[in-house]
Amino acid sequence: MNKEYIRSAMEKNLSGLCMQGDMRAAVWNSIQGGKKVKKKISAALVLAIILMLATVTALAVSNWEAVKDYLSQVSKLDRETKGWPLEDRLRLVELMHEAGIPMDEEAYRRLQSGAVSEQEKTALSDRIIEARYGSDWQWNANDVIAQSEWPVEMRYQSLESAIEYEQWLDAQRKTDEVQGIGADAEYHLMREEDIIALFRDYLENSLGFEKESLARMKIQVSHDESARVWQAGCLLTKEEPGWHLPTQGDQMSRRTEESTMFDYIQAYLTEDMLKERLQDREEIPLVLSVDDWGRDTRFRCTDMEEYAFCGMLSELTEIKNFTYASVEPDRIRVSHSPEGGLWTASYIVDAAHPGAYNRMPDEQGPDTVYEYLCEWEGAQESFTITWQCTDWMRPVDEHPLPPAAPPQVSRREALSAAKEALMAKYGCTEEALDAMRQDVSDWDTDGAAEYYIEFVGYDYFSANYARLFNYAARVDKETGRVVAAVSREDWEPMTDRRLVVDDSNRERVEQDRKDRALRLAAGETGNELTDRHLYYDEQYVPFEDWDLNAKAAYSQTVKPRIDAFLAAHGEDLAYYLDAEKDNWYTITACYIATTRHAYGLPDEGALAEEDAFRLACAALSDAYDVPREIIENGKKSVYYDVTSPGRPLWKFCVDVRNAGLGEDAPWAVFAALDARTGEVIVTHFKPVNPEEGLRMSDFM
Amino acid sequence: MNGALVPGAVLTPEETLEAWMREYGSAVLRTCFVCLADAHLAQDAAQDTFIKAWRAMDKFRKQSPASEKAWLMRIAVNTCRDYRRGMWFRKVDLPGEIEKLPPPALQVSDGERETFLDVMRLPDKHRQIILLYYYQQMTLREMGEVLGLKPSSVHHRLKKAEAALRRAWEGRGDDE
Repeated sequence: MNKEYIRSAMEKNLSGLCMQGDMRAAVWNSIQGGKKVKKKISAALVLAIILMLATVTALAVSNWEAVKDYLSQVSKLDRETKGWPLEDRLRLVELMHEAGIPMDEEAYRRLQSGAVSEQEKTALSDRIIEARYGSDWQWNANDVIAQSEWPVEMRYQSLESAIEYEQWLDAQRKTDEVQGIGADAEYHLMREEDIIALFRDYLENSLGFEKESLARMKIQVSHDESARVWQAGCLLTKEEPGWHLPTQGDQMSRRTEESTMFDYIQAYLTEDMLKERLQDREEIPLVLSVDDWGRDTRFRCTDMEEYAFCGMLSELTEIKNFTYASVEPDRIRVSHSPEGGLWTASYIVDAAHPGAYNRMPDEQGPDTVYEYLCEWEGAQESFTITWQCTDWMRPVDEHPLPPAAPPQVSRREALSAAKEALMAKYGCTEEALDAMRQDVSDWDTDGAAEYYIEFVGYDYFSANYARLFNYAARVDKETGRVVAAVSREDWEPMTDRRLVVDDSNRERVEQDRKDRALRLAAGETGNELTDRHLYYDEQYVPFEDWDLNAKAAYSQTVKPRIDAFLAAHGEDLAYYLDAEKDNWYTITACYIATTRHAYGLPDEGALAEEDAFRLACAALSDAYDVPREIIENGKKSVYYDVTSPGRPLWKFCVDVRNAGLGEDAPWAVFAALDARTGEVIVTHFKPVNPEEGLRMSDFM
Repeated sequence: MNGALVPGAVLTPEETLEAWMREYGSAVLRTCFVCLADAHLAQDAAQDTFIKAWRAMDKFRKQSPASEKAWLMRIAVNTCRDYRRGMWFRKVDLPGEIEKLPPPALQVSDGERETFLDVMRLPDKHRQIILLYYYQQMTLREMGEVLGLKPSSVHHRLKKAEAALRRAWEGRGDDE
């Protein structure tokens, strides 16, 4: 194997791939949001801090209402920290203290003593607040504090708190916008009269319609609560003076960053195309769309074809967040079905498009005017997004997809129903379910309004604490009926179907299945599993280096579970019994390897560890011709094996790889001694080639 | 040469990150590409890697420049692992993806291109081990740090990866 040739081949092929300045700039841009707290804190960012403090504090205390009221007041103040009065800081500290949140008690006592100056009080209160929250949070453009950055105890907030917090947060955002202090201060929340006024303004001042014409126009308005999108529109007939004006590509004068979209539309709609379209038309719909803050989407539609085209652009850019630069408008296909009275726009997204997979299944735009279809099965190179609307912009009361009726069942009731169903079906306990994070969200499909409830744990191995799906349920909002209650295992048939399409992941899937079965059998549900992993992972200490107490405790709790599982399952688990076998995603191999023997603590009748090791060194030196001082100074792992209680063993493993013994010398030597008599029961050595000789799992 | 690797130099966190990006940015990016076989995703993953490194900078205890690089590579590999979880059912057009790479700055012979493709066609874990050992020229211990494995397991895996690569060469009559 020519190392230099391979290196050169890779170097040359990858030589064009370099981290340029723009990528570094992108990193810095991403980081900026998280750094602001250290420097000048913007109003929005301080709001985020407040909200987070409100959240974590409220989750820990019962006086949520008091906290809410207090912070509502604070949020109306000047949000620069320098503008914060000391009394607000002190009140925040007091709330933290009442909530029992750990803090620098000495600083708190000094703060309360009254013997410090105001300047010192400011410094002390800042110290307390920042020590707890200052560097442990993250804020993104949606004011959402990433769960993964929360303190561990806050990741498992109660459902009630979460819902209440979300509602309050939502109200705060609206308040901010109205007060003109938020990120989009130049706008304000739109009401129905606002959108009508805006539409009239558009018709009159941008398109030049006469007031008499405006008086004749019947303006229709609709609003999508979930998407926060307003639409206003009317029909323009040939009799209306200036009815053709909208075809001239005029736009609202107040252009926003969305103006790029208009450019696409203009590129698409040539003058000839517009004339051609108008030839046989008696009337054209005109639609204006804005969000609740009066921003963006100010497209106007002169034709249903254009309307569908715009809808697809909006779907891609606003809903799915594809960048404008990455959308190719000429790939949007618009068709019309006279029978069904439907306009359909479709767009094919290359599966290799960055983030395409993440964007496809989750996000869905307002359901007021179109239907979203996305094929999502099997190995695909592309996805087709389809956007549909009816022939005509319908009045609100005739809307094809009216908003779902308000739910008759509360989220809390739905959660209870889901728990009962899962407990009945799978025999899990309520405690086990409550130990997991519970997410309740809307699940609207095929017109059925349901809640979707997930019970998830976290994978602490993942850098961003990826969620582990455990159980899920769907509950009808109106009746409270549990539509579906499933465990992760129920997903398996679907996985099997997918493997038929793409077999390349079979090995990984099978490994994952065995892993999970083993972990569940070992009594791990949710946090229990991750806690033990966390202990193992955080210490960065492999099992062989744990002290005797830790090994004994582990052996007493985990070994019985693993033994029971191995006894109950006859399938081939040889994979796990090979501790040297590569295992990418779990340390399951270690689970079994470390439970093959029972470990305990030496009793009075046992030799002292030092004495036993001395005997072991002598035996190993003789057996393998390794100088005794090298063994004595090598990296040592110690086990006290009580698998046979009547004959406990001292077991030592010494790593001698770095002792400079030469290429053919052993990597490690092992010895097991009778703990009471000191008799050497067995010695081994581990050769250079790990595929030969004794495996660690055989010895541990 | 940036100041990050100068012994005793005291840099601010900002300077340190900038130095890391300049010193190891391309290596991280290439590692991500080899892991993901997707130039666009590799760019995202490389950026995520440095963002995570920034957030975890306080926890990192620098022992040597080598440990610094290994630490970044470990983050990169873990980041790619997360990305891959979302790619289970993706069919990768490997030659197509490689064509999407920026043109190599160095001239590539047909044999070198084939060798590179052979590496990229290896299973994930073998591909990474080849990358770290042959390309990044790390020691077994450093590779162990990156992959979260014991050196013996790294050695074991390396042997298997080499055997797989050798079989690929034999399959097309190349004895390199």
